[in-house]
Amino acid sequence: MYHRLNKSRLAPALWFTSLVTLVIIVGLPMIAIILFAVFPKINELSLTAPFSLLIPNLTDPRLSGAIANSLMLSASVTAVAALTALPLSLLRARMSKRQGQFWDVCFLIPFLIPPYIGSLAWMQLLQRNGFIEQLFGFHAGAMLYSFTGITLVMALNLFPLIYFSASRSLMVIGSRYGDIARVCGANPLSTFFRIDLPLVLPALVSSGLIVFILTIEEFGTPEILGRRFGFEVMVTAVHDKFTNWPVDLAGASVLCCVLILLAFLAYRGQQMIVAVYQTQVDANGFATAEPSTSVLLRLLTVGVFALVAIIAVALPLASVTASAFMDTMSGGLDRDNFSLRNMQTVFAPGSDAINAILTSLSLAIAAALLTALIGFLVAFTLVRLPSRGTAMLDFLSILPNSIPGMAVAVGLILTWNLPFWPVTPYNTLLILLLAYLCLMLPYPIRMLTTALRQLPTSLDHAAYVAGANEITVVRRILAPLLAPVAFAAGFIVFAISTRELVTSLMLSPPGVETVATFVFRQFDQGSMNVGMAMSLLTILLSAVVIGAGQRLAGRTFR
Amino acid sequence: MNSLNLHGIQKSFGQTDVLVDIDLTVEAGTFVTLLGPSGCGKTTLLRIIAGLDAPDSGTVHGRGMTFVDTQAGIFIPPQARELGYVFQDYGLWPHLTVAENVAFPLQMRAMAKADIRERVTEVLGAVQLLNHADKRPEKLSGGQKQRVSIARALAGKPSLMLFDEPLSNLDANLREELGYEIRRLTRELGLTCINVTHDRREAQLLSDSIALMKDGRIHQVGPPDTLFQNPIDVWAATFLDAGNLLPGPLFGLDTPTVLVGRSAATVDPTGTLHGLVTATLYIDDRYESLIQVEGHQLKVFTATRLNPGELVCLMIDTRSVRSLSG
Repeated sequence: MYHRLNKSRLAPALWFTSLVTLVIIVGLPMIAIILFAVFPKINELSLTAPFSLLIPNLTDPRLSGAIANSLMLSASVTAVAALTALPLSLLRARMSKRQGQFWDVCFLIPFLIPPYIGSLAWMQLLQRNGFIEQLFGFHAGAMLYSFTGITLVMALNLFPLIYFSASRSLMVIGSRYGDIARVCGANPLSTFFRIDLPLVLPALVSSGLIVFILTIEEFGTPEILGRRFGFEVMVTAVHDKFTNWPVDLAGASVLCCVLILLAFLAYRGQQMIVAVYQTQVDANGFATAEPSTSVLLRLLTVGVFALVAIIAVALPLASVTASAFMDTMSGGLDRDNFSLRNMQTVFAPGSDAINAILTSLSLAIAAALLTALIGFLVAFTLVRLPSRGTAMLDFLSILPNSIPGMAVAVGLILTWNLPFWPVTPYNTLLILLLAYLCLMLPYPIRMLTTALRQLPTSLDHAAYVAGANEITVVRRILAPLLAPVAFAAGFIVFAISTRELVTSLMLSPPGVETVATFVFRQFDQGSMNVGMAMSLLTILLSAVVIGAGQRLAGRTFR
Repeated sequence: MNSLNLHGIQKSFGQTDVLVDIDLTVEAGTFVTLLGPSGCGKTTLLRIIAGLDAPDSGTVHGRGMTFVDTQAGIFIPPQARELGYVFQDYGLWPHLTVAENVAFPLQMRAMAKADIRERVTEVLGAVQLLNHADKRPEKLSGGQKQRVSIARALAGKPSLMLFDEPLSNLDANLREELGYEIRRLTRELGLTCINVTHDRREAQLLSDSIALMKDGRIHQVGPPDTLFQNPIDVWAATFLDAGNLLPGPLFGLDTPTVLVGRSAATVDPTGTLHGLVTATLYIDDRYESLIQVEGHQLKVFTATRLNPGELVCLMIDTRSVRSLSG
């Protein structure tokens, strides 16, 4: 009947389990990267010559060039994306509800197109003899294979992030503050620069930093487009260090350290902006702006939105779809060139494509289930069992937000190639699963901790007082309440896992392909059309899965 | 037997002492309210009684058993204390129906299904919610939610009930109605009850006895009438809003501050104090006026309206005048 004063043995046990899980998935690869950067001989288990390669690597003109290129590219993509998104979100604020919803759905579509597929789509459109030249008689190959081209392709893929963030923010700000400024005598222009722009700036900067991180992490687009004109960024440079003999582990680690540091700084900046500005707007300003009645403005709005939608959404989608059903690229847009042959190739029993689909699906399902489970465990430990060590756990759980996929891959290779492991997941599908877990964990952890924080603790306490123990509280109260959120998180993880390129490329065991590496190899081998058929399937799958997940998440209890 | 005894309870969070040497005895079958401003430690004390928090030192005895004895290393977890707890925010599980919410504590005791159904019907009947049994909590009004919460707490037939500001989320009329109902139910069942609130109205409405808390200590204990008529110092009188505070010496009382009871000052032409009416408002069947007397402001109740600017004479009933320390 009497228990010892230590309230529960479950709390430390859960804390320990969460921590060990996160250390294995997130901690080890990061430690490995840092160790390799500092001690170049660590793979021979020797700590000799510490820091000996750090300075030479950092001053290597090729690497510093890659770093400079990465920074320049990320900065210009962020700028172009912001300049595209800002006018759109301002116009969005004056739209009627239905019109706004239509364009919102439209601008969700770029999220479904993985950047490497987007780049391939633009190649088919703009290169010599591409779709544009066949239809309109000109091509823009020179522009595509240039810094401007890469910037535009990536910005068109990423601007919706800023658009959604800024238009949400404008919706919360509403028209009230602007109205007050107008009453105080400000003209529309000074109202915009003195009131609306400063208010929307935090959302703009914080989503801009996310775009910055995503660009600096991106591998597919610089690899596909940049390679053609010798443009190297950090991520492609790391890739080269692994694919070109001799493999340069220390150099790759140093680059990864810089990469992580930059992403981490951008992420911290974003978090700080969110924390500082999130609550500054008083909630009762929730009167959204009235839909505009000016015909001119409405025509302008529709024109601008349609133009951006055609360029960013319709063209790439049409390019992927057309290529997917064309027998050969060289056959052009000719009626006889269209058939279902690529789909038949993809779905032929026992084909490489089918195997790649099956591999990706099983990995994605495993990643979704495991991340949802680990996410639930970590969220419960973080939110409901406050103990001394939660800061460490919290840090490990958000760290992957700022670890580029390439660094995860490098870290896993470095970790699991060390000679002392009795068994290693390296060269098996397990290492891919580990990579997906590390990359995807932030989604379920963030969604579940947010949801759990919103559940009042009185729900748990009422159960304890009613005679339930911790296990019962989790099983009967928290698990059913959080199940819809866990499902939604699982669906997002599933959708992203099925298209993940960079770790799949770096870590796939010999002879194993995922959907993304399959598409990438088709492009390398010139069988573009089969690759595009697979891409189309990926996009459709993402749409269905994410749509289903969002629907499920909407069914939470209030 | 059913009484609750707290002895030497200490609790600190980091550098802050939240509870300092708390001794409190609650007689069986009585309703005691821990009343105090936010941050006085009252909620922590309630959580310690429930087992949701552990004290750094001290003992808690309840229901004839030792809940906590830090020296002997005894701590009974909340799930084994078999008490009822009514939460300020109701704490109803949104994924369960009203009946399932109420049945939960009974299921935890592994009661037979038929018995559970019978008991759920019984307690839902007692709080007049039988026809809402199959609804989800989101469909209910605030008052109904709190009734479900009370029914859930009563379901396991606890002898000790804990209330955390049970009325503070409800609007004024409902508060009084539910307050009377809690009073009736708990007295009928002979429950020992502890309530926590910062609202003196809620304390008056429910309690047989009030323990006034300040800075982690019990400041004063007594039945509501005694407490409000005889606050022990200026802080207690101010927090309880027990009457008009005037600087002494006055009426033969030689303390720096003198408390003139709420109804001690009356407007009377034969009165010796002269005052100027500065404001008048109508509350609950009577008029309340602010009257300026020699630079001090008094709150006075009258049956008829006084007009601001009017000069009045005041009579003080010296039997309701108390000297105050501090």
